[in-house]
Amino acid sequence: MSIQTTAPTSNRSQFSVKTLLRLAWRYAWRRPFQSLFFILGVAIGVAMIVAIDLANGSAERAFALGTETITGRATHQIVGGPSGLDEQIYTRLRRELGYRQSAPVVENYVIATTLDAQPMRLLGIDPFADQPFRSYLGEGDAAAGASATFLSDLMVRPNTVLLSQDVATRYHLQTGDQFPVRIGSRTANLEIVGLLAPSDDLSRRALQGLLITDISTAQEVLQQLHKLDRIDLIVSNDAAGRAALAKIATILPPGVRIEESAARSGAVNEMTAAFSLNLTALSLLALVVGMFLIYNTVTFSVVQRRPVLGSLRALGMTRREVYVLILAEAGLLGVIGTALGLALGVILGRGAVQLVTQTINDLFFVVSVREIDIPVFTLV
Amino acid sequence: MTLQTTAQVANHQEPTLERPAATQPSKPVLIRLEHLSKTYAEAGQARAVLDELNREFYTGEFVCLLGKSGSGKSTLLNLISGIDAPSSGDVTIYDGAQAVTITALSEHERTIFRRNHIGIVFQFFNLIPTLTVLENVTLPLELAGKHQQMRRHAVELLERVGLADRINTYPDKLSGGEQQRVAIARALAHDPLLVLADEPTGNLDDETGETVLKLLLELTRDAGKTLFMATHAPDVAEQADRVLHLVHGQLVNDQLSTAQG
Repeated sequence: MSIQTTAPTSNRSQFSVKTLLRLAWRYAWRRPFQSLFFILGVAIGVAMIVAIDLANGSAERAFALGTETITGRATHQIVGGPSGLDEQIYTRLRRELGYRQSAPVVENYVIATTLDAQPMRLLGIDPFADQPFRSYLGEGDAAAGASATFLSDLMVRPNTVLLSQDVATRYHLQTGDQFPVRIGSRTANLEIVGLLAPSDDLSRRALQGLLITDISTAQEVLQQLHKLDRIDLIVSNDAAGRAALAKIATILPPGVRIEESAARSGAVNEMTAAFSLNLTALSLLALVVGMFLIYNTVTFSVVQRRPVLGSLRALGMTRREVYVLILAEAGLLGVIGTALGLALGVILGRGAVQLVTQTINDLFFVVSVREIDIPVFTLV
Repeated sequence: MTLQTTAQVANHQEPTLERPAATQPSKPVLIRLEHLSKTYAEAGQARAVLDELNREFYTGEFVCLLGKSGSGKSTLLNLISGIDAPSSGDVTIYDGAQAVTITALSEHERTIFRRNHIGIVFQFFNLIPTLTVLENVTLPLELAGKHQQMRRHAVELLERVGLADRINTYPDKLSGGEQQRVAIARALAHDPLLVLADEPTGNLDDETGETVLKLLLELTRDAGKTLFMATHAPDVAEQADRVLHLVHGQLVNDQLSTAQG
């Protein structure tokens, strides 16, 4: 007779995953409240993370989109102090230096009182000088291209604007309609002389919070006569470009400087970075609370079931199988909780984006978010 | 004859042992205890619950283990089943041509051995509350990987314990006696080498206890299984082939019943 001190080879673990999953599922099913708390713990944690991430992301993307629309292809900007620039600088730039790759801009936020009182950016431009900078007035884009008729209307008739086709459709407006805007305590009536409908989605969304007008109209409406907010420049990134910048710098009065466009938007991003970080930290706190709930629920379920787990061990379930059983249970409920949390997060995100936007508008700069982006990365 | 340790087995090719000379020629030895001791530390002092036990038990035998509460009955069952490990000594279980020294196996290997070869009936039934009666009985078969005709076999066993009409019921809807009958079916489901019963009637009234005991004996005898029962009910001993008393860590009053064949 042979004697052995190891288990016979046929005694390998043959316990099926199906049985394990059934044990896990049955426990979850027969303890509905416990399972519900577990699922809620996961769902709340995930929902908070997703909601805050979506709100942050949407606000940032809306801002980036807005900046991109306004900055266009400008590489540099001439900017002054809080009172802006004298428009003579632009005149000297074009006449004395003959620098054609420049476009004046006057801009500020106005409240479109009849359009849900939303803040809209009134962008005053020179339609001819502006064409190399911003594509929505470009002739090459048939859908977006503003016709010669409304461009001339824009320059000749006072208080006229171009509006996004989407906004016009949403508020049942058409060419020729007038609507009031509030600038501080004053009110002005603006007339729509053309609708912009870019073919690509990005430009369409970028134009949603924008009122484009001639620079003289913007100066009158915003009461910035003979003043500009900035002058956009396109400067090549070579020796000739650097020489041009140096030449431009010679005509600038004290307090007026040249900045790179990217640096300018970067500075604004830095302003909101701390705010975004706070929100992210708070959402992580929610996740920590969720994890604490999960930890407690799992611990409770294990402690409560010690006699059952003991019976399973006595019947021949290995430590590893018991461990996998508990993990399978947690995984099963975790997947349900995560799915629920993602859906809840998207719903919460829609509410949170309004709050985040409001705070950014109040504390930092004006940003208008009409919809939330749901990037796959956030959900993953 | 002496059993070899793991190291000794590793140093020899095909180590062989003769089956121990049984005191009962007609019954082959199933369990062999050798110098088996179990000591617990209590308030910094060692207390020997089992002290140098040396015994042999035979295939098909009904062994009744009597003793007061705390005398070490459950400890001995835990050592035989491999749930616990001894402080010293060996437990060898003979499975046909193979002898397995389970005290030399790892915890994982003992668990695998137990799931395949040992059935256990507990005092408090210990059914899995989230599984139905049928699933409780099929669980040892699933654990042992015996999936073929698993359901049919379990239903047959439940018919024998009189619960064929309750297969989809959950344990909390059963009486204590019914739960223990399910536990008996579960203990026998995977065709174990031996059945260990720890106070199986301890949580039942006299009448139900008697019915359950009768059923347990009938099923184990019919299947030719060894039944090793710990109890402190002396009347159970009347039906046993052998009665052992566990006193001060020693097995005493080893009696061979006249009922044994």
